[in-house]
Amino acid sequence: MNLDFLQVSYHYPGRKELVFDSFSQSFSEGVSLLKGYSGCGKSTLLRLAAGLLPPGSGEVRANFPNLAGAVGSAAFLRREVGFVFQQLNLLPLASVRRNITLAAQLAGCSVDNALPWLERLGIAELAEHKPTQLSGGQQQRAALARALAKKPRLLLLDEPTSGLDDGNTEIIKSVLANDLPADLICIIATHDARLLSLSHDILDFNSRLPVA
Amino acid sequence: MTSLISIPAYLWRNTLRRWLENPASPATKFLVPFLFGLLALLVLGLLRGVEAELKTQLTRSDLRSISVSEFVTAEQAENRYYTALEHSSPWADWCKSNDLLLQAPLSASSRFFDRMPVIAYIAPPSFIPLPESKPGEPRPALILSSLPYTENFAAKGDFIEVAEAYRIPAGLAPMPSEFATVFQTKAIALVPAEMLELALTRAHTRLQILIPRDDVSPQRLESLIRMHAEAEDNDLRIFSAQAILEQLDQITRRQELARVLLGLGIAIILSLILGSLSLLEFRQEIYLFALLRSFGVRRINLIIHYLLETTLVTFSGGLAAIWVTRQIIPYLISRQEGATKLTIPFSIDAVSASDFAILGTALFAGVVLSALPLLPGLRRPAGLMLP
Repeated sequence: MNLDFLQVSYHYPGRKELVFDSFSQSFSEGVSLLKGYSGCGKSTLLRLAAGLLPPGSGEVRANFPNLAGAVGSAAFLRREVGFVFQQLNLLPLASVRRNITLAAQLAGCSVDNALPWLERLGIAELAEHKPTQLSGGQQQRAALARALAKKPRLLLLDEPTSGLDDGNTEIIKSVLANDLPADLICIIATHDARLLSLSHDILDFNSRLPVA
Repeated sequence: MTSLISIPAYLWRNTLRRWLENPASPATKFLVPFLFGLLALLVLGLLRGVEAELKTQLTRSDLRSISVSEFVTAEQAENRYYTALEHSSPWADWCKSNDLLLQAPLSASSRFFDRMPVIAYIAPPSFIPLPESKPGEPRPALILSSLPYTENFAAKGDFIEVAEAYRIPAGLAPMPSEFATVFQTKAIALVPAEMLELALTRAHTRLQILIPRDDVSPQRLESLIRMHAEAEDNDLRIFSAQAILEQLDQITRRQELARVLLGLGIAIILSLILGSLSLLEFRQEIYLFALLRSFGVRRINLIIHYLLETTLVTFSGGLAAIWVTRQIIPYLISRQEGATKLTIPFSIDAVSASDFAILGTALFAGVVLSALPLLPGLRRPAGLMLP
């Protein structure tokens, strides 16, 4: 199972400089880390991987069992992708439980399998709270629970521990290290050194060369 | 299946929350169609009232009737008189009423009317109720003051005692509206034709009052009569309300155009106002839509929700306008009295389904056009819109 970037070029609308120029990279099962300076294109890569941004040229291709083709369809986003945005983007009017069950239901997953992620991430007692009633760390965990609740085959995390204390970071790191299913492609964009031990597969955007 | 319910449920909760936070938005979306709907229905009610009045006028037999008069000279009078007794009209098939009357070269007077035309009938005319005598009173009669017939013969009306009278059973009738264009007097004297045979065989004027069948227009019947008169080389004088009818037709057509333009105008103004509102809410709405798109919700679902939300509020305003015009306006009109009473025709009941369809289409067009500002935002990749 792979997610392949094939000669992908991309520049933001209204800007001339390319964020990616004929970029090719393959991601397989397991955790991959993207590291690099701010603005180097880590978040853009995650959004291209999810299909939230269409590449200017080239193709982002998913080679999953029973699914092979370019990413970007609504069905692909709904069923295959779990995304934790840097700004989290939790639904502001919905409770934590509602945020999670909504994502699971959209993906066609059982709600019973979704809610245990709240336990594992230590926010079960906050299930009925609105996102605005949670701390930053709790919101990060809620966003991760929402991404995992839909049993994605592609998990994309954009700075999942930025600004978090060690306790919260440890909870998230523990889940990522121990609780992820084996048949999952997980790409984490981070500059948090505490997460570097999660994987040897590190793409250093400072040099744009795979480090490991 | 559950997700089909979940997303709309969340969207509706979000909508209700937004309405509570910013009630000006739904209030405007409600009030604008309400006020425009009210205005439109008042205008439509007035137009329909006028149209109903026009239709009543158009179906009046005297307005649809055509009077044909032909002076028959002394040379032809005897022959034409006896032909008239058999009364066959070439355009009878086109008419539902076809009365032939002969005007005798006499004038009559009564104690009420100085001068009246003396009209002879072969069969009692369909449009004039013949007066009947009251019990104990003498039957109305024309009493000719002198016999035999001479030109400028004088006749005296009923209830007038004249010596050496020759009484003819007759009646006086107020001038029928069908004759209004032919005679200027207020009444006519009606006499069976055989009673005036002597006068009529010397000279007379043929009068035909024709009322076309409902499926035949007066204009068509008149053109048939003219064609026939030209073919027969007859010198006919034709009196009809064709010019008025054509004007009424024109008014009716213009009213149709006015109704369509009204609907179009409302659609444009409504869409401009609703479009401006949706632009104001654009940022808030488009962020939520982008977020839901990142979950895999299709654009079409989001557009449908927006359209349903705007349709709900907009049509509520429209329905409120209908309720007010059906319940409140007729009540207010019924309470008017005296000099302030509304004299112009207003009939909300006559506002037809097609009028409501025009209003509904205008509202819906406004709703759809108001969604246009959202489309560029929905077309942008969600990845560019989410922080």
